[in-house]
Amino acid sequence: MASNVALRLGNVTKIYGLGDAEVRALDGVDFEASAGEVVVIMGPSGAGKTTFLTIAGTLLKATSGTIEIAGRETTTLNAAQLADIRRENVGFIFQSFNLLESLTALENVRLVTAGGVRAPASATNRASELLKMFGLGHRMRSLPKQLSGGEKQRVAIARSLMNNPEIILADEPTGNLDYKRGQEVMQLLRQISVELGKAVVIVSHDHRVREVAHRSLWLQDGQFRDKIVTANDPVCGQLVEVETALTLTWEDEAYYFHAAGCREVFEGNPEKFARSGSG
Amino acid sequence: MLIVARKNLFSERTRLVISVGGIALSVLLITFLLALFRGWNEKIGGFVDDVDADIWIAREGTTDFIVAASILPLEGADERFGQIDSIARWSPLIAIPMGATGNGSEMDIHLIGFDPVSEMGGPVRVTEGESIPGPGEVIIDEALSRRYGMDIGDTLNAAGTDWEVVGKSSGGDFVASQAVFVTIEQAQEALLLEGLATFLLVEMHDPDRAQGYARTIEHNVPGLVGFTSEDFAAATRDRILGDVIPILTVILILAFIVGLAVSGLTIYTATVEKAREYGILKAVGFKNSYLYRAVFEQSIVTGLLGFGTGAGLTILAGSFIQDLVPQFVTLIRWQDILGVAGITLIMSVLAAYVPVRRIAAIDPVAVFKA
Repeated sequence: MASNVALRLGNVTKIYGLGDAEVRALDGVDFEASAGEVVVIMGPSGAGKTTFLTIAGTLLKATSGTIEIAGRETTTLNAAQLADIRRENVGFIFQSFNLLESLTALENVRLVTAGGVRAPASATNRASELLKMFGLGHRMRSLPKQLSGGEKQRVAIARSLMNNPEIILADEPTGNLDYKRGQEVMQLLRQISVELGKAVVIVSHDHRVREVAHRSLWLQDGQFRDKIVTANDPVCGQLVEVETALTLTWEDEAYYFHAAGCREVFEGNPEKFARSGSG
Repeated sequence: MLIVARKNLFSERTRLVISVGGIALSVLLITFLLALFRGWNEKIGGFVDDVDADIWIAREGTTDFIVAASILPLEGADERFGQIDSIARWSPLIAIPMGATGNGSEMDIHLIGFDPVSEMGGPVRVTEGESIPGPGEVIIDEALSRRYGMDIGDTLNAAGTDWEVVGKSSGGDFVASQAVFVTIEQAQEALLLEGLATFLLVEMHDPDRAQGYARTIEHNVPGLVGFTSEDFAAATRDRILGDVIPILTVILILAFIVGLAVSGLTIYTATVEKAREYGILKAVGFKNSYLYRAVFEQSIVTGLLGFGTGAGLTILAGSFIQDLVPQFVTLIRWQDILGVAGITLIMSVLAAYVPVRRIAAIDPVAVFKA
């Protein structure tokens, strides 16, 4: 398994601010993701998830520690070399899709490897194949504004695969999608990992993402925490840590909440929300 | 061209039109001013250039052809010039600026009396009618004819005399006034300048010695000045354009600034609007050099489109405006068009400078924010 490690973070720390204003967004984090594996990183807001993802994607410099991508240590590389690493070894999927509005679906995907107006036929063929693979063969000439949220995210996934990277980093990939589209995207990410042999690292609040993951990690206060017990907030839908969450017992069953407002809503109509289960 | 540059440029048609329009107006203004300068330069000094003389001799204090208050006695001149072997021929010339009337209009003219035998200082190119006017006859410049509707057979009143127009010529348009040619005897009689002239025109056997001979006249004959034809033409141009050039320069600079501001602002606005997209490109692995190139390409293509439109409008409008406003004498040279293309290129590069700095500061991490 060790030889298949696509992404490795060793004792990574990221500190924002100085003195009294110092915040440890990541605190000595160790992490590995291998080819063919989907790893989901969850945690409360402010836990350091996005910091983790941007450091793993070489967009942000760690204060200390090592980041190895496809076997290459990146912490000593300059900005241009890091850009090359991102372009060759990493694919990004964003919550808000981040497609270029004036480019068609095909151009958005093809852009990663062909930035000129006249793209090589090989780039166009690969982009077309990817879009067809994700059921967007009929949408190649559509602009992002003409696509649904699910279609946009599938274009973004195709774009992330255009350069055939070892690692896919996804930030809240279902955040802007309804339940059905979210499920489709998650299955797609699983498929990419298993069938194409990519290491897929997903950062998310959405507990449903765990269904497609080979591993789930809980990031809190800048550190991964093992053996954590989580529950689903029956009102607000967020995954919460049982140990620290707000609690309410109804008909001998404990329910856990992300915030006081969520608990108040539950108290107003417990029968309605209890039926959805607390996990 | 980069696809990002092309798409960003052409996806916002209104902005593109504003940007291209701004540069086009700037180019139009710059090209027009240059063409106007060239046109005036050509017209104002052109007559002196075209006169078949190597040296112009005038009364001391005379600086140029347009504002000349020179009176020279002709008595004995023939004898003196005849003794100098290096002189091929000489001729007296009268040129007096004055007001005239004709066809119910008042006009500013230069009444020019020339020797009909040597024809030195006479009509440069006769385009219609007689080439030598007889007693009571004049040859007028085409520009005067166009401007005031004067034609052959009409009567022009100047210096208290009615003259019949018997011919037209070109090359005597000084923009603010135009040449009207009569014989020197007629001019002397009408102006009460018997035995006098304003200039003596000298043609040398060896034109290369003109400069030296002009200096010799100044040193040896008190009260006279001598100019080579080139120097006199340059001084004549400077008389009119010397005051105009600083004004034209200021307007040229303003036109450049306007073009730069319009293109700079539109490119900057387009860059700021697309800042997130540039951040996305950075995030997925595009280097700053790619993004800079995208901005420069947008700016340069906008500049080229603006230049093409502006230069085209200049050529189209040039002749049209000249018909409406005769004083709007323009001369469009390809060297000037090339120069304006260079100015537009500089404008485009400068316009992209601030947006490029903005791009350099974009943090790709920001694209992770929803």
